Amino acid sequence: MTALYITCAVLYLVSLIASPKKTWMAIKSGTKMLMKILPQFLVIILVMTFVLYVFPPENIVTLLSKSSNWINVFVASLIGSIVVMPGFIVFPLAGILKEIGVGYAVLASFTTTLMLVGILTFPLEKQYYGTKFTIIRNLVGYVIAIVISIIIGLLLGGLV
Amino acid sequence: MKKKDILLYSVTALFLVFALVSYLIEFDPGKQLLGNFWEYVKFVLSVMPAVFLLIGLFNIWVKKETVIKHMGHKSGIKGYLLAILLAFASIGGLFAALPISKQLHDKGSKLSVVLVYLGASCVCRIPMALWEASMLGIEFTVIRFVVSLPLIVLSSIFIEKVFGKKLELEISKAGKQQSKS
Repeated sequence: MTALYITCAVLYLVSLIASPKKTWMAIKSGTKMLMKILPQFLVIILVMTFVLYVFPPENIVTLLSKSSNWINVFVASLIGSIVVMPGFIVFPLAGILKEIGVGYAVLASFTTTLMLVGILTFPLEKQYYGTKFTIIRNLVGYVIAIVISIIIGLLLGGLV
Repeated sequence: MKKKDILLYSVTALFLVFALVSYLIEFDPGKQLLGNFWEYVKFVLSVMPAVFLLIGLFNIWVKKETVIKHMGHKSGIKGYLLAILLAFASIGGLFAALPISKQLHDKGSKLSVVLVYLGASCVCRIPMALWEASMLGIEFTVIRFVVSLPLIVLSSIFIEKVFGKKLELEISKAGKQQSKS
């Protein structure tokens, strides 16, 4: 994050030297775009908060420690598709799951659907790209996630 | 402000009032919700000002012709490579990838390149991958990169070929990120 802000500051400095007028336009343009989407951001984070409150990460651990790996790959993909989680929850959680012996295929299915498929972020994506795009991209993302899980399961074990 | 935005802000405001009251009457679930909400807001919104300022800079300085040349219809394989490199350096997940990709699209990047950027920035951000590798092992992350990138590129080309025209039409209806370019 620090690197991001340093990059931003350096580029703005260069821009300022090149043209103060254009720099001001860039600030205005960026701020406008952020303000346009901010209300949507906030509500999605709000929904995310409630979903994770009703269905906390500990439940995911309990859920995925039961039943066979094939079923778990599917269950994990469903949870991953619906929920949106910030990285600071996802990776420690994945670490715990690995430690209690959840297979690699299940871990792959969970983390990849989390990243690639977002049912909770549907309204946000729709606002940028429309409904059809969002549906197609998420469906294809789901298929890709499943393929990745199967291949990881075959290579690293944890499918059977 | 648009009606929809007012509604969305009201929902957030309503929640904040609920959380505040929870604090006053020591209502634990409410307090916990506010705590979590604040953590997520910090996490998501801490990078957003910088991301959008950079998009603004890109919008003003980078010419449409440049993007069309490197990521447009005649960009070939170079367009995908550029999109993947850009995705590697990305930060902030879908919340940042959506506005960044939309900016590329507004400037004339073709649909499959936009899709490659979106997909790759979801799965293959380097900062995130380092974290993942430390938790799940380097093999895990390497296999995921190697398997997912070709799948993302192929599926994006496929989506563009099959649905391209329809999708472009709908995206143009959704409008540009900024009314004046």
